[in-house]
Amino acid sequence: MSLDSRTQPGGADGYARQTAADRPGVAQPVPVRPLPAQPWSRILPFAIVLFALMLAAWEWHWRAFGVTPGMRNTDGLWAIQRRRIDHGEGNATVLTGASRVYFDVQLPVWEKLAGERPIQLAYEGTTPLVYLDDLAADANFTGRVLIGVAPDVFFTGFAYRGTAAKYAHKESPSQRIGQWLSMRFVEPYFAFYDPDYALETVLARQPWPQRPGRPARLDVRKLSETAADRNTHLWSKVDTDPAYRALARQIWRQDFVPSEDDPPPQKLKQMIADEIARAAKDVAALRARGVKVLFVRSPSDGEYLEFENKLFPREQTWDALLAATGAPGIHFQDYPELNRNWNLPEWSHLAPADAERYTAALYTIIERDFWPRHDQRQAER
Amino acid sequence: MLAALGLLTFALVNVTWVFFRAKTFDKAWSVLRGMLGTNAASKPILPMFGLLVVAVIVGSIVLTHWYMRGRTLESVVARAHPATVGTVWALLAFAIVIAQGSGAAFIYFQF
Repeated sequence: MSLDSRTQPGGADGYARQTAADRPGVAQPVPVRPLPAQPWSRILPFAIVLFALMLAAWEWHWRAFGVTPGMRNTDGLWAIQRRRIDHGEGNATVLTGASRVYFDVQLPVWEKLAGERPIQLAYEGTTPLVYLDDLAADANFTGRVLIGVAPDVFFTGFAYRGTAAKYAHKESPSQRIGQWLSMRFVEPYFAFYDPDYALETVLARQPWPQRPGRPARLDVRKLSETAADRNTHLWSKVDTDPAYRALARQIWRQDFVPSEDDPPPQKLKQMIADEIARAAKDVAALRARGVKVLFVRSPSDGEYLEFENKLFPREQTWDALLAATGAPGIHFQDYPELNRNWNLPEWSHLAPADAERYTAALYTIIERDFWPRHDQRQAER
Repeated sequence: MLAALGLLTFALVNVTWVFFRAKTFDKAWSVLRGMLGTNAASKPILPMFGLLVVAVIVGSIVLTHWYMRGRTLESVVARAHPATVGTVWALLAFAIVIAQGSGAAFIYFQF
């Protein structure tokens, strides 16, 4: 039997559709799609039940791993907070920075002491300057901004999540509705719905054979838990599960050993100078509008701190930043109440309980030395 | 003969894709040189997993087309055991959900 005769209408296949070519000179027939003969009324419930069972097993697997449902840390979630500035809260206190401000500063603690809940715009692995550029350009913003300085991110201009401002300004109605629906009907109920457990991500981190000349690099794993207003803390598993904590440290350690991808010393020096100049420009623009600016260097520890001290010595980075911007700053090493024996399970972020204590200590210093509660700005209102 | 012509077409289409996607002619020549193995001291960029995924997907596409060349989807479904149909259906739904997706990156919006 030829190939053609099988797919022709009425051929052995029995399901081929007619096209205009089958009926020359006759208008295109209305396509009728034949339904294969199967017991569909039994197949459908079977498929639904099987799907539900597989999904339940997947969800159970991640819950057993220690994951709980929470908000996805997305640009859409960031955009909700960013919009507050343009919708009546231009006078607010805004937190920017990388993961240290994001995970370490606890909004409820701050709110309890300050009487107002700050707007959390920090993003992990991302220089705050991306978002400071955006705030500097927004005339609606006249409040106060805390700028977190994690040396390796800040002074290299690294921006792992650098797209949120653009996203916030261009977010389409369908994206906004999708965010709303997801936050109400999906994210609060499913632990597996976290980017770290997406099928491709899970498969990619399996121990595949290594390709010669391309050593496998471990990607950063889930480190935090986020609430609807982006209040975020280090995931307790990093603190309580020794294997997971060791993995988190091992992932950071990849950056501590010199690699041929590292910028040469002269290039790094230039990067640091460029980022400081960029910060100075933003700070000048913000201060011209009456915005109060405060830099904060959050605690780090162990091998991470050693790495930072080696590659980003304080006098060439932090001190130079304050000098160039003329803005005040809080370095954790300058304040005994911030330079305590904190629990930083992976050297970079405070464990949840210490994050609360740290926030209280930090806010107390801020109110005492930098942003008095009833400052002139508020008196003028 | 047919297979050889098919492979030749495939190879030529791969060459044209380079010009379709490259931002500049310089980059296109660089990729073409790489495809011919003439880039000195080149370092592998893609991880093993990326190569495996492409091999599995492209291999499955070719096999599926091969198998379906003389068949319609309806006839294949009609001949399958009902449990197989239901299982495949459930697996597809499961895979879609656990893949999670990340934005709807439709390729033609990227040009």
